[in-house]
Amino acid sequence: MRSSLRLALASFLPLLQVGMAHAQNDVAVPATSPSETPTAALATTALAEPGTPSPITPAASTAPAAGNTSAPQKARLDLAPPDLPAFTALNVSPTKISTPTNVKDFVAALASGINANGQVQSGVAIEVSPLQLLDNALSGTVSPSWQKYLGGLAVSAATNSLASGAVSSMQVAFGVRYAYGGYTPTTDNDLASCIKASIAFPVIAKHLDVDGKAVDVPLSSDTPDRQKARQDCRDAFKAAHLASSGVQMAYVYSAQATGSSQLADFGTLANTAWISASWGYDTYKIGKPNSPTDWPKTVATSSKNGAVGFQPTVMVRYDGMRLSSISSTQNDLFVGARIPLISTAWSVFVEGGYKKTNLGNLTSPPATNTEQVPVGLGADFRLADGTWFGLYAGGDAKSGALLSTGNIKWSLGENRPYSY
Amino acid sequence: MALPIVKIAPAQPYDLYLTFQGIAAYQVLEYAPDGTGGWTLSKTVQPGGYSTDPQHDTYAMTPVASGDQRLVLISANMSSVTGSDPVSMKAVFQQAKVPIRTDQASGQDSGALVTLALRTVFQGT
Repeated sequence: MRSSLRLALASFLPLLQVGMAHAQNDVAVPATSPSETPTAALATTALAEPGTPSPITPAASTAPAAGNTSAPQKARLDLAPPDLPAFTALNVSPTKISTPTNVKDFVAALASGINANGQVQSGVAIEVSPLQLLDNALSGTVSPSWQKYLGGLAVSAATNSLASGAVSSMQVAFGVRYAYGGYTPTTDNDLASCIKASIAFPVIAKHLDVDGKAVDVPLSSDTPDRQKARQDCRDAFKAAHLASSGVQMAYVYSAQATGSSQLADFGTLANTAWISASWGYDTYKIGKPNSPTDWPKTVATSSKNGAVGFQPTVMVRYDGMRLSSISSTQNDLFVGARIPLISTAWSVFVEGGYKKTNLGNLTSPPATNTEQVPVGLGADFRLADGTWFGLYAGGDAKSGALLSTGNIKWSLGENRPYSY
Repeated sequence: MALPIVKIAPAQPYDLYLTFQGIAAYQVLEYAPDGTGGWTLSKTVQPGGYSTDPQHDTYAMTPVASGDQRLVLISANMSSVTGSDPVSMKAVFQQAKVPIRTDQASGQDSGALVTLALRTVFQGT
């Protein structure tokens, strides 16, 4: 049952990469702001004190404006909530993340973020799965239905200290993320059944030598036919799950204390929320055999030619940022959508979005008004397993120049739409 | 290579807990000394189990009499879901709910089956 829990947890972690492959990988840079994706811009402004230089370098600020980009996900619309909202909010990428699996360790990890004097410590990075805490607390007796619905829930927390001139500040963020649906091969029991039907048992040896090695038979008994049958299973299930349906949402609360790290001195910095939904339709369906042992025969006799997945995805992101000079909040909104067509060898998509900062048009500075309409189209071609060539063209429809050379990008070496 | 020998309380039951990363078709076998330095099959604890089956991969092993020995062989043919991921199996032996031996084997799936084996000798003392 523990292994099934791990599978349940694992099923949600790669959800972005597989079930919503394009939602994860594909993002667009508006022509008017080639140095920042909508996400990067929002993440930065969410934490930078308006009117003061941000000590945080936008993640995409070093991305090239045109041509090859080593981070194409920064060059297309980001339509997926972050895996770790707290880290995203603080724009940190900690090398060591505490991942407590029981309540005791979780409390200890949280306690390590505050010293005896009530001062928040920098460098805290915690990611926890409530399902895993619950499972450990109940000695592995969490029911499968709880695993199904709670497996996609994750909580993250982070702290980070910043220095701007002589003034230092401490930031904290608490995030929660939930994902439901999508497709992950490792949790597909039918795929496992299909593969296992082509795994022979080791041969039982009646005698072993002094080293415990079989003296009369080899342990393994694989054949090329079985090897091919297993690969047929993988190919068939891949073709049948090019697109999938799912929902993801995330929320992060961040706070800051300037010139102090006392817990009592923290004030709200920003609230950010994401919600993303995909609907998947696949043209290729696998018929279920009468017996699990017939899986290899079923997938071998069904034609996967022309298998295509259709997976429209929509995401809404809201940012509410406290403005430093006035007791008010700047509200930003981003809405984006993508319509991809996915095959095992190629994919094409169109996408578009609308980004508005300062909803309600606060008139007091430093609230800023911007409006963008990023649009784009792209394609990916599979060169080999794990090697994809991507093309993308896009820009800001509000400012024109959609297909200028500065807005055409290509990438190589991506694992998409599948990670294998 | 000398087999690891684990001394356990004699004539007392002990258990085996198996976990897998990947899809495994496995067996759990007990061998007794054959008198010539080798081992002969004494009991088939699990003739054919799959890691994907819904039951726990937990087994009650045969108690070992004082001064006696049993070689436990866990062999598995394994494949990953993707066909290119690492696979592994881990065995934890417990006696009276106290872990007495933990062993692990791993390999890399590159299309052909990966055969893993864990061998441990338990001696009642």
